[in-house]
Amino acid sequence: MSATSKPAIARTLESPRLHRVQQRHAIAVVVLSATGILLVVGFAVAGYPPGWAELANFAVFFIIAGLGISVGFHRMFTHCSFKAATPVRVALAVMGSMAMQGTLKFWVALHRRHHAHSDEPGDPHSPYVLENGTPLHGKLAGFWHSYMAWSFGHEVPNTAFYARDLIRDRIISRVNDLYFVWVAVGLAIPAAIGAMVHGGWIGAAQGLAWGGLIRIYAGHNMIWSITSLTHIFGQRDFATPDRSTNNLWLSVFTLGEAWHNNHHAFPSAAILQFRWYQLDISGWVVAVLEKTGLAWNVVRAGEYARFTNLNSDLPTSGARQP
Amino acid sequence: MSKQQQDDIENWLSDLIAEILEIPPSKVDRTKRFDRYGLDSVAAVSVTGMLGKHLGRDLDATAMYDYPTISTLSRYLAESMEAEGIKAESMEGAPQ
Ligand SMILES: [Zn+2]
Ligand SMILES: [Zn+2]
Repeated sequence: MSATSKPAIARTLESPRLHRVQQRHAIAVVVLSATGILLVVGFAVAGYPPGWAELANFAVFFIIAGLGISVGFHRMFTHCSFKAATPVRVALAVMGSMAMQGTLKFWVALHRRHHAHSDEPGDPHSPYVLENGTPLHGKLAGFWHSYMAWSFGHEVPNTAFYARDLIRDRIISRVNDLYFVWVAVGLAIPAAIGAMVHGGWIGAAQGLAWGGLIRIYAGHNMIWSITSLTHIFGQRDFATPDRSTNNLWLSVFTLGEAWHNNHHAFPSAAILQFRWYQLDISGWVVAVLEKTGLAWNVVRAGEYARFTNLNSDLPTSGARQP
Repeated sequence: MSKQQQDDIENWLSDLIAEILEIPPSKVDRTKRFDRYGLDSVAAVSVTGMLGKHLGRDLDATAMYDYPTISTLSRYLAESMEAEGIKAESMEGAPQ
């Protein structure tokens, strides 16, 4: 046994136990989503259609969790596109965890893997190729795999390889490990609000269904749209090595993430609004945080991104960085 | 003998933790709990998997929770490997 042999840290882990954990999590998302749908349909049939309170409950928690994912998990934690005060980092980590898309470290590791292998073998959710390298020929098969099927069978991304900066972060590691607490909080608060608005168990169940379960389902559809649609349909303003696209029609629902070709071209940019019509709600939030001094070192794509001709080749330094 | 073994494992583990944290091995505190190092459950599986491969034995990921520091885990492994070594030797000598 030599004490000096240098170990190589694997990018993914062959662990039946962790595979099972991931699979159970994916199944739990489906079960909770289905429960939410059954609840709201049942309530509507029973004479309790959603009112303004339910829709507001849904919208508020969709935006809270959605910004946690987009501004927090994606732009700040995965791509380090801006720096923020610790309370902001903690808040974004908690908000993103409420979306029930996996722990922060898992999410970051998986998404960095997507950027390292976009639309190539190793990409956990490409419409064109399975993670193990098997090409996807059918359009429908490619769409289905990249939409949600991938979430049941992808490799376990090794956080010790992909998310070392977060492992080093003591406070964020604590927040990360309390993942299920934040998921539960994200269900309990809308239920409590529902109970306060309407009183009683029916109000609570309606709040849980709209602000919690359906909201989680919608948030997953938001992210599944990004993993699939924004690598299939839409405009390619930049000739990136992957097949990412920009989609105006998805931009509001995805809080700006549908400018995905902009994002793959400039992964470390915090704001994806390169042209006036490219609505990027998440980018606006980053800009507000910057104005108020809560965020700084905000990376912008620069003049090149805004004034370059469409479909031009990128300078090599701009692309391919998580 | 066991002490040498323990030191070897400790050094190897410190090197690995240092690599993950991207800090010099000398900065790794061998009495600090793994979870205080920010290792989540996935990273823990990665570490025990690599350690098991290095030592040529199956190592459960729970070992890092039962023996939660570099030094306690190394001592446990060195002692259990020595005990197994003695048992293996006595088994070899025993009539089948
Ligand atoms: Zn992508
Ligand atoms: Zn990204």
